[in-house]
Amino acid sequence: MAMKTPDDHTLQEWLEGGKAPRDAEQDTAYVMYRHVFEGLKTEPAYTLPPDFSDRMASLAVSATARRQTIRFYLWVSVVSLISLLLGISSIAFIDKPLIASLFAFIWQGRWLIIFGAALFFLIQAGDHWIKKHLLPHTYR
Amino acid sequence: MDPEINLINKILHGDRQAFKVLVEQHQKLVLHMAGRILDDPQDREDVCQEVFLKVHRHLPSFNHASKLSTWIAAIAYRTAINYRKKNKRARQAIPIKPDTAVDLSAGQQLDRSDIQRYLHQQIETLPIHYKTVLTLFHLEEMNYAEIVAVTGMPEGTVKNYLFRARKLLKDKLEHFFTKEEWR
Repeated sequence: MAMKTPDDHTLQEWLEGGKAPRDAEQDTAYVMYRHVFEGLKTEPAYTLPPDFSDRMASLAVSATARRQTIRFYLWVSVVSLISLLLGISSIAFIDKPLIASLFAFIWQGRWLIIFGAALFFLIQAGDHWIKKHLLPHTYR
Repeated sequence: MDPEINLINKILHGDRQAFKVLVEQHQKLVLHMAGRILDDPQDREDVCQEVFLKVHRHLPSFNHASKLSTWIAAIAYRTAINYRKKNKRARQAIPIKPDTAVDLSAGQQLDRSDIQRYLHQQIETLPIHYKTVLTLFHLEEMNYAEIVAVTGMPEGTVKNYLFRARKLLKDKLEHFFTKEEWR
């Protein structure tokens, strides 16, 4: 008796479960699906450099070190800022005229401080941009 | 102790060699994911690098709710998709002409490697989501639940994409064989 032509769902289920009937090979669609399933199991020809894993290990270690350094400087900045504010508050409590003259001095040089800070961040941002876009292999 | 947990613990304690082993174990998985989504080899390598740096950074937050490979595949999938969205170069790749890429001279018999070469070319022409689920299911041998965890697609969608992708490939292969018979 001739085999009833199975639909695509059935054929795919047969191949997925490895439960194809013995006479399935007579069905052209089944044979095509078998080729497809075999082809899908073969690896594509993508490659990575042979030293990829070694390079990755080095990059990961340096990235961790960089993050730890940033975290350290961030804590140092926070502690310094808090200490400075506490120091100023303490002096203000003891000697108000001294603080008043200190703020007056800062106020006189305010533009120098503002432009200085802006220039510093601009240089940092420029350096970051150059490394990221023009020297991508040094940017990690 | 489970070797995977042991490896993770070593990496968390700063063992460089252990991370190298992890990369070697999973680089094919990551490359297959990146390769199915990106056409340019340099883009693939960049994404692989980005994926493993993310893996290293976020490993302390890995909670063992899934297999490590599923977790890494999910990172690879998201990173490659985002890279593709951001990077124009990845989208400007020249597609292979489906019916001319495999060149067989008249009268030559089709052998298994020809068929596989043709199939691989056809896989590259499929939509990204089709290629992704095909790769995860057939090449990485993941089950439906794992593919759902990697891609975030509903299980029904995964099954549907798998079915449609395989049917598309079967139809293309049938068409290819029919053409070859007339040569």
